Parts: sequence; C-alpha cells; structure tokens
Amino acid sequence: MSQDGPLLALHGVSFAYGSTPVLHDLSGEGAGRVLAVLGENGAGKTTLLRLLCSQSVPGSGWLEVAGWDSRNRRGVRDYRARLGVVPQRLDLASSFTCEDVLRYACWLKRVPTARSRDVVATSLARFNLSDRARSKVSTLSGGMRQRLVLAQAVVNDPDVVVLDEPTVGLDPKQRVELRGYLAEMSQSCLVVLATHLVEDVAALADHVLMLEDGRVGHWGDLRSFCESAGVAVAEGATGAGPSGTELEAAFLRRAADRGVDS
Amino acid sequence: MSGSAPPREGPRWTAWPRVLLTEAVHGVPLLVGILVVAVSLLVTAPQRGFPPVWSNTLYYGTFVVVFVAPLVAGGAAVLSQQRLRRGWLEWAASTPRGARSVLTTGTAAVILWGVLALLAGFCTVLLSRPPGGAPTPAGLLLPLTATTMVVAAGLLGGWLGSLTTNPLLGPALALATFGVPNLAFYLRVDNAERAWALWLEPFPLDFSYTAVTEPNAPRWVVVLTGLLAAAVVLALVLRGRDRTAIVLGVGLLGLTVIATTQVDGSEVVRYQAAPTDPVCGTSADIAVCVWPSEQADLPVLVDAVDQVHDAAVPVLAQVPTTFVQPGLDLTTVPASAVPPGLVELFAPYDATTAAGAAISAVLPPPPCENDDTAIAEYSRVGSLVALRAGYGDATEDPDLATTIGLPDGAQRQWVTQRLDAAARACA
Repeated sequence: MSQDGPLLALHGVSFAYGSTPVLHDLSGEGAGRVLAVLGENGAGKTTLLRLLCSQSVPGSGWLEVAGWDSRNRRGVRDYRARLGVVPQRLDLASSFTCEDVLRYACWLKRVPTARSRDVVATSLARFNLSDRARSKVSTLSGGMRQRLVLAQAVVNDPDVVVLDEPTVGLDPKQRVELRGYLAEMSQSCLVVLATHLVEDVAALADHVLMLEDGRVGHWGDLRSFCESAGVAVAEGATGAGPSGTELEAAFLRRAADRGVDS
Repeated sequence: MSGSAPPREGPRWTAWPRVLLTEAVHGVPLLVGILVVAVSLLVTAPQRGFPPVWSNTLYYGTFVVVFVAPLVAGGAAVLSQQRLRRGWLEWAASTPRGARSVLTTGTAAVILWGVLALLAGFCTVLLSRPPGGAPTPAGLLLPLTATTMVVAAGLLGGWLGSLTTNPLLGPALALATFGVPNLAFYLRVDNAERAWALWLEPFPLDFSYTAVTEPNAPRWVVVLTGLLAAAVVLALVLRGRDRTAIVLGVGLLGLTVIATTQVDGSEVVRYQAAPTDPVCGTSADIAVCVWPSEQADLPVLVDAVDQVHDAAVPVLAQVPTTFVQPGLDLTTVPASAVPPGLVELFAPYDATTAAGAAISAVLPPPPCENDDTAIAEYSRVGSLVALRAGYGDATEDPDLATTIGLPDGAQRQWVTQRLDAAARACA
C-alpha cells in the first residue's frame, strides 16, 4: 500500500453509547497484514470495528486507517470506496442470484458501471462461485453464502477489509477453506478480523489487538502477545509464530490475571 | 493496493435503474406489486355506467389509489423492517452510498409497483370505455395527485419501517392509511363544518370532486406541478445524501396536503363536451337521454325516472319532463318547457340507484350548498319524493311520517314551506 502514515493508528479513541462508555482512550499503531481484534464478550470489539468502518464517530480522539483520518468527514466517502466489510450478520436476499448480490454491492460501492460486469465475474471466480452465478442465495450452502459475503466485500478492490466473526457457524472444513481466502485477501489489503477463535488468529493473523474492558490490553505481533502473558513460544523448524495452543494459553492467562472467568 | 479511490468511469447513475429493477422483481416489492396490480385490475375492471369522457376515465382510472396507497405504505414499511433486521443497513453504512441507500432503493421499487398499478387501472378503464375528445390540462390534476399519494405513502412507510422492527407496523400502517381517510370522509359528509376532518384525509375518497365533472383548477395544476418539479430538483441536488429521502418525503406530503385540502368542490365546473348522437327513451310523460354507451341500461332508467316523476308532480311546482346525462348537447334532445333534469348515474344500473339519481334530477336546484339548515330542509323534500315513489324510510323523521299520510295538496304546501325555509336559511 502506497501511503505515508501507518495502516492503522488510534489516537486516544473513546466511545460511549449514551452514558455507557465502551472504549476508553485507545492508542497505538501498526497492524501488519492481518490484525486480529481479540477480547471477551463486551470488551468493545464490535464497537471498534464500527469505528474502523466509519459507521460511528469517536466521542473523543481520532483514528487513521489506510490514509483516512476520521476527523476528515468529507473524505469518508473516498475511504468507504476503499473499504470492504463482512458484518457479523448479513442475511442476503434469498431470491437474489449471486450475480444480483455482487451487482448490488457494486452499486453500493460506486464501482463504475462499465467495470461492474468484469468485477462480478472476477469476484465469483475468485471465491469459486462461477458455476453458481445464476443460483439463488436460498440454494447455497452455508459455506457458499459466506464466500458470497466475502466476495461482495472485495468487489471494489479494497485497501482494507474488516470482518466481524466471519467463521461463526461454519463447520471445520468450511473454516479452513475460508481462512485460505482470507490469507489470499491479505496479500493485497489490510485485513482486520474480530474473532473469538484463537485457531483463526494463529492461522491468519500477524498482529493482535487485545481489548480488555474497552482498553488496549496488548497491541503487537503474536509473539509479543504470548510473551506479554508469560507464555514461551517454541521455535518451530520453519520459524513460524506461536501455535494455537500457545495463543490460547496466553489468552487464558491474561484473562486469569485480570480475574475474568473464561 | 492503490491507497486512493477507484477511478469513476462513465456516468454513475446508469447502474441505478438496473438495481431498481432487480429490487422490483424480488421479495417484498414483487409481492406488493402482484397485490396492487391485481387490486387495481379488480377495482377498475367492473367500472361502467359513466359517460366516457376524459374526466371520468381519469377519475375511475386513478380512484384505485385509495387501495394502492395503503398497500404501498404497508409494503414499504415491511421491506425497511426486513432490511433493518437482516443487517443491510449496517452493510450499506460502510459503503459510499450509505445506509439509507438500501432503504430508498427498496422503497422506490415498491413505489414503482404502486405507480404501475395506477397505470394498469387507468389503462383498463381507458381500453374498456375509450373516451371522446382530449383531456384538458386541468384533468391532469387527478393522476398527478394520485401519483403523489403513492410516492408519499411509500416514503412514509419506508421511513417508519426503518425506525422499528415491530411486526405490527406494516399491517397497522396499511389499515390506518386506508381507514383514516374513510373516517375523515364520513366525518366531513356528516357535518360540513368539520373542516378539520379534511386534514385527516390525506387520501380523499372523492378526490374533492366527483366524476362527470371536470376540475376547473388549472392554477392548482400549475402549483402542484411546480412543487413536484422543485422536489425532484431538490432531490437531484441532494442526491446521495442522507437528507434526500426526508426532503422529498416531506415535500410530497406537503403536496398531498395542499392537493386534498385546497382543491375543493367549488373549483369544479360541468364538463362541456357534447356528443353528436345521444340516445333517448320515452314513456307517456317523460324522455330520458343518455350517452350512446348507456343505451343498454336505458329501459331501467326510463322506468325509474317515470316512477319518480309521477311521484313528484303532485307536490313540486315544476318537474322536468326531459332528463339528460351531463355533457349532452341539449339542442339534440326533445324540447321541454322546464329545463331538463340532470341525471348523474353511476354503476350499478339497478332500480334503486336509478331512482336515487332520478330524485336528484326532479328536485329544483338547491338554494345554496354551504348552510346546514338549508341542506337539511332541502333533503327532507327529497326524502318525501322518495317515499312517494316507494323508496326510503320515514321512521327517523316523525314530521315526514305524518306528512306522507296527508293529501297531495297538504304535502305540496309542506314542500313549499321546506323550500322557503331553505331559501331563508341561505339568505
């Protein structure tokens, strides 16, 4: 990505729903290629993602994502044109075909009409849905639907893709398949992923943003996350990062240190 | 990754019609569409018994809006609620077009079906009874108002649906959109002084003027067209911003209020078109002339008018002997000493309906139309004639019940007193 600033930076970001504070003075920067946002239920993951998706505005502080400064509201449309989102819940119209869904996404994202036909075909092929182009959403399996949701997120060739619990409800085979697509996506854009599943983090992420009660508990690469919890990371033959077991141990230890019953 | 917005090639608006079409042929919009078109065809198909002039064609063709608008309002509300529940707003909120785009496009698809239903109703009437002559510019008020109502109903439903997921909203809104104007209509009919009832009547049942009349309100056509154009221009200026739908909705609702509260019956005049060949039927005492299209129903009408005429002659000073449907060229109908009575007759052509039209035709013109006392006295004369002709019920008016038992001379005196009282009240 050609830009001057960091991929992601938070500057004293706070947010509250009415009188209920959710995020407290979040600061830090850096993201790697895949940033996993971790935290217990209610830690503020979804709220942070809403801020990253420009759906909400920080109560105080600001954030920078891929060159967009949240204080620049006039630039929000251009930022959204470079953004892909996979919401936690998106029930696509069951009577739409896969092509209809992607064409609709092209319209939402202002993909030029002249390009939309090629974009739809390319996106279907990228997520192995070409043979289901004319199939209605109601006839797709859970895994195919999730691939279609991923496909709609990238029709605009985004610089940033934000995913909220993308593997929830998928069986193990579908999860592995989905991770493959996400890994491929991360080659061309920043992927921000909120998840409960440590195995997803181990397989995909290179950085972790741990939220604890609306505060930054840790922000860094996976190794530093484990080390911050006192979990030693075994050196693999390939020099890979921490394993899922090690990450899970680090996650549980941090929770235990804070007195949280996981 | 480029780090900048993708280039915009070609006009951005070209994709919208295709998206709108996709919306229209799926899910809730499609269901609403099938329903409103079916209702429109069912309501307009049996329409008959009116002179085939443009004012009537436009009236009957667009009257279906009283059924279409509630369905559009309810359907748009249900669609917005569905999108709210299914996460579409959250999805669209992170796109350049914003959250409201999925609401406005869905609502537009429902509205599109509503307008198509109006068009279907209009075409049904147009093809079943091709009108003579050409529509006047003032006649455009009807389709303009009806279209405005459908758009306003859709925007209202779409907006309310985005505020709550309560499943009762859609049915309740449809019922209210249908029921409130009905209630207002009956309040207004029962008591002409209840002007506030007009404000409850966003979908007037009678469009404030009746069939076989032509709206003489060109200035309102200009005003409504101008406001509509202004709303559209404003929407184009604000295109893509969150305020677009709100501004357009408020503007159209304002148009509806103006159209339904300001264009009233005093603005109408009789349609002046003249056919070349009226068809007449006669009995021993009377002649009835109708439009050629009504020829098949002429015998029923002649019998009813004859019966009412015989009942009216002993008690009224002057009773027409020639009765015509509005819009006929009077030089071509049989001459009579008394000006012809106008028979405004609508389907169905049964004896009771025909008698009701005949009673109105035999009475002298009302002295005025805006005084309750005068209207009441005048109506009692009509009730007496109806009783004499074998129609109606006198149990709710003891005076009338007594009068009907008196000799013809006394009844004639009673009628004169009633008409004098009406004239005094008007004065």
